[in-house]
Amino acid sequence: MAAPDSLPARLAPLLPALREAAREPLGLYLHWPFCRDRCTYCSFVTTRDGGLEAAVLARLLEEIRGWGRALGSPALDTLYLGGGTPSLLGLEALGALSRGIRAAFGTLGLAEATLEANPGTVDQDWLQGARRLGWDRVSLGVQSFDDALLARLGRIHDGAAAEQALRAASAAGFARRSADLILGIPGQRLSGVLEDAQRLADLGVTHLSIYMLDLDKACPLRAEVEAGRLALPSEDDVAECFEALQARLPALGLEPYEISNAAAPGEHSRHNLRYWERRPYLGLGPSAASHLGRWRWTASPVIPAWAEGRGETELQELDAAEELGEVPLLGLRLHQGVDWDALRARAERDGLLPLVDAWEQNLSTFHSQGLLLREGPRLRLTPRGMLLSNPVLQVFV
Amino acid sequence: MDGTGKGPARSINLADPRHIRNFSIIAHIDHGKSTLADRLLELTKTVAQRDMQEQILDDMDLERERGITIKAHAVTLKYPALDGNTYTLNLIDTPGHVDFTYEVSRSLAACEGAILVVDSTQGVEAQTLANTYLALENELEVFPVLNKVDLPSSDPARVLEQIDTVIGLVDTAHAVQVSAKTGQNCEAVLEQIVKCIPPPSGDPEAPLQALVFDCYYDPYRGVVSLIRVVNGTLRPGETVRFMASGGEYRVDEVGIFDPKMDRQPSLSVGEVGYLIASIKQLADVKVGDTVTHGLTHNTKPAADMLKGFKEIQPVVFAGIFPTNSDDFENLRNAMEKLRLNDSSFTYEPETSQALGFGFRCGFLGLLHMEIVQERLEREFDLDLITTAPSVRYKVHLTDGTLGEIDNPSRLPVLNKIARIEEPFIEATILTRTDFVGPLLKLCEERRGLQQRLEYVSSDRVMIVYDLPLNEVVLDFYDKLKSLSKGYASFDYHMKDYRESDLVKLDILVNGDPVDALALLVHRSKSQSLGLSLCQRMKEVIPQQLFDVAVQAAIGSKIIARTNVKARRKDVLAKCYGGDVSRKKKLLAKQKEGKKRMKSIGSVEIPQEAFLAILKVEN
Repeated sequence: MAAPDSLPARLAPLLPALREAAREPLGLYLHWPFCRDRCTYCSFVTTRDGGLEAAVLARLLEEIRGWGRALGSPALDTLYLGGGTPSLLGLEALGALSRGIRAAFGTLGLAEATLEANPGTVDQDWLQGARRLGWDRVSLGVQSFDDALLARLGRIHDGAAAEQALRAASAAGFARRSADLILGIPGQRLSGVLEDAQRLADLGVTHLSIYMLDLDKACPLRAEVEAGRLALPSEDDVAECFEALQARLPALGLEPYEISNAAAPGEHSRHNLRYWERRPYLGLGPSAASHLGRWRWTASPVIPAWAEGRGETELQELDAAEELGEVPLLGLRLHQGVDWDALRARAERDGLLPLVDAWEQNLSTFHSQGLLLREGPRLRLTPRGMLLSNPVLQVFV
Repeated sequence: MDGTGKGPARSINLADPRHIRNFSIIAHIDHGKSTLADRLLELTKTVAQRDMQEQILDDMDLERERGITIKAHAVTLKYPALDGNTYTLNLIDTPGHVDFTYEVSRSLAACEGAILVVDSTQGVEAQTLANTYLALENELEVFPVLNKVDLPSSDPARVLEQIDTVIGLVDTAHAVQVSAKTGQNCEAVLEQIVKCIPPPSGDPEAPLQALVFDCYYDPYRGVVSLIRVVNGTLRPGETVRFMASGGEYRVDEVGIFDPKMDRQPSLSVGEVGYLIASIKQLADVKVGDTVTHGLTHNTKPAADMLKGFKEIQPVVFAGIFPTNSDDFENLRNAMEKLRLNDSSFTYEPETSQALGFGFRCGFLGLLHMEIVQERLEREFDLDLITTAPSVRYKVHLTDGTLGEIDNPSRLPVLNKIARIEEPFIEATILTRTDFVGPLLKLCEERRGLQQRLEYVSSDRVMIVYDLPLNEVVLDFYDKLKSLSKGYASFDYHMKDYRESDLVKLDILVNGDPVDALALLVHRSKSQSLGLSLCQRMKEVIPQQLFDVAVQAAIGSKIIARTNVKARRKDVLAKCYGGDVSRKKKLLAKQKEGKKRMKSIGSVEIPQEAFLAILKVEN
């Protein structure tokens, strides 16, 4: 079968292999890059230029069609519409995307369809409409309930709007509701964080993502910090805050299951789990990442170029050693850790045991420092190891 | 220089010494020496204008980048003067930095005269002064050239007054005012060279004596010696003897630089050129040596060497270690290769408990040390850790023996030491009057002893201090620059050894002394230095997964202590979604950063820590 026009030319020769990989149910990620305003800490690919919306939507629909055809209408089991601010999509556009996905992919076994939404951009009508289109999980960018901190982050909403959005989602029939919290905001206190978590639990969220403010790229907030107008909390303070929150979460009915994520029983994000468990996913939209078989690629982050189908796709083919290394690199982020015996067995099959031996040697110091734990067949990070996971994970890159 | 020298020998008569002028240009960095040299080459059509490469005399990359001349070069110009005669002008370029004073003195010894180039918008600087004195000591005729007179801030009268006051012995009446950049009045310089500088004298029939004022290594031809014939005549095929180093060789070729190598049937009295004699190693040729004939049926050696020869000795020492211990052999190879064209730096294998296998290296000075380190990293692609620079101490032991020590960690135990002597320099600083206060304070803090303080003009002061060299190798120059906002120049020469109350300051990391961090310091400063060193180490040692104690100790006594607290958070906790590549890139970058650090025990220590002493408030 010839590759549809919509596929990056570099991927065309790989199609047979990709199709093979897509026999396992896929996750599909769609990126909607539009925001009403840009947050001061944001490093994602977003734009406020609504003039591009029509072109991006058309291109997304075309890619959905094209990839569905190219991969032979593969089955999806998770779906995630992220951004940007997908809740800025009108119901008509959201409907078009939903129908497009159903037409191009096998969605009978779809187990989860998450919509990312920002407080201040959603109302009950919209949420009800989305729910009727088949979306069954919503992830709200709450970040904090403290209005002063929200203003500092350049969020377009206040705490009340976040609460309103969560209530509206619940009323609209979204039983699965996730919220994001950010730690390390200038001026943030531990007591405030714990109050926020309590309030989210009271509002019945079933899932919580806890991110730490990381100004690794140029952004207005970083400029403020560098100019000395704002001070970031110390690393120790952030660590303390994180640890205190982790300790509190179980009492709130939310069990941490990944470095940055906690969920009520059975409510973990199935889509995100596939990232950490290295199961295949297709990402469509500017800057979206895909992983299918031995290949990984990232679409052009330049929105107009992507919309016109002339963006540069970054493609990477992983060899067996790299694939093996990614198992612990990603899997150790999960509290359940990695089945090390299974990893060794796989390495033996691929002739990579010396590599695993070398890792084990490099990891021994982390065992003695109390960052890593071996329990039966599984290797996992300790709570302290979670916060100091970078040095451990560096062993695998 | 293309180094082939294969062209047919030019059939010109031996130059009449009366029509030869040998000269050097003395100038401070950026005062326009190389630009003026370029103009002289153009004016004499030595180099066609279209072939001109900016600053042709500085041909090593580093030289160009730093705007300094590291090695000397020579070039022969033909100048038809106004008197109707064509003169052979040999321009001998000299290194312009204090570390290379001996080389400068030998280059000057090959000349009868020197041009003192001074930027007329600036004034006389310490380095110019030192080199002018060297020229006068070598009995050279010196005349000033005031450069940059096209600039509005030019003030020739003031600068001439300075030259009169500071140097006195230079004839300012014959100063030439030029703009080397625009070429304005540069011909007058050529005319002045002919008029002012005396022709060489010497006896072409006397036994050969030629001064080696420089040498370099050519991978195809071996060592090329740059020489100035003082007496006698030198021809290819003859046997020559290098009187100081003792080697005898058959001469393959002699010639001049015009500026390419141009082979000649002979070199005779007053002539400047090169000598190639299948010499394999640069270390076999010593700058300042005298070349004479071997004893054969028609030649005989001179009885005496030309005066002024010295074995050059390194004065600054540091350990150089590969960051990655697997690179040790690569580093050894790099050092061997580098020494092929820089025989003035020395190296010997050294083992450090902290840094593993490396080399203890000796340098002519701090700039020389930087240059060597930079060349090793750049030309041989090595990641290196350099320890703080040290000097050579004389250690008198209680049993009456005397040892020399250039590595503080090798100091014998206290109760075996009777006394320690350290090298002193005489430092000359020229600066503007408004910076005198801070600079005097700096010199005093560095245990200096004031020798002179003179106003050389209404706004310039010359300060002369005796300073312990170990205080100067530790960041003195940078401090001088920053205190004077760049308006101070500095020059020094070794003076003598003096007894001092020196103690060894150890730095302990998690309880273990790190040999590569040991320092010899004056007892009066040990307490404060120990404290600021610990503070500085705390700043540069990154947080580890455990607490790191940094202590300063003298003998078994801990005099200062800091603690680098364990890191609590090093995690990617940001929403990356499925972008695994980005995550991996971030981790890989972190990992790369660690590779540049040295593990000491289980503590990772960055290069800055080994040079922490250079950045503390002394």
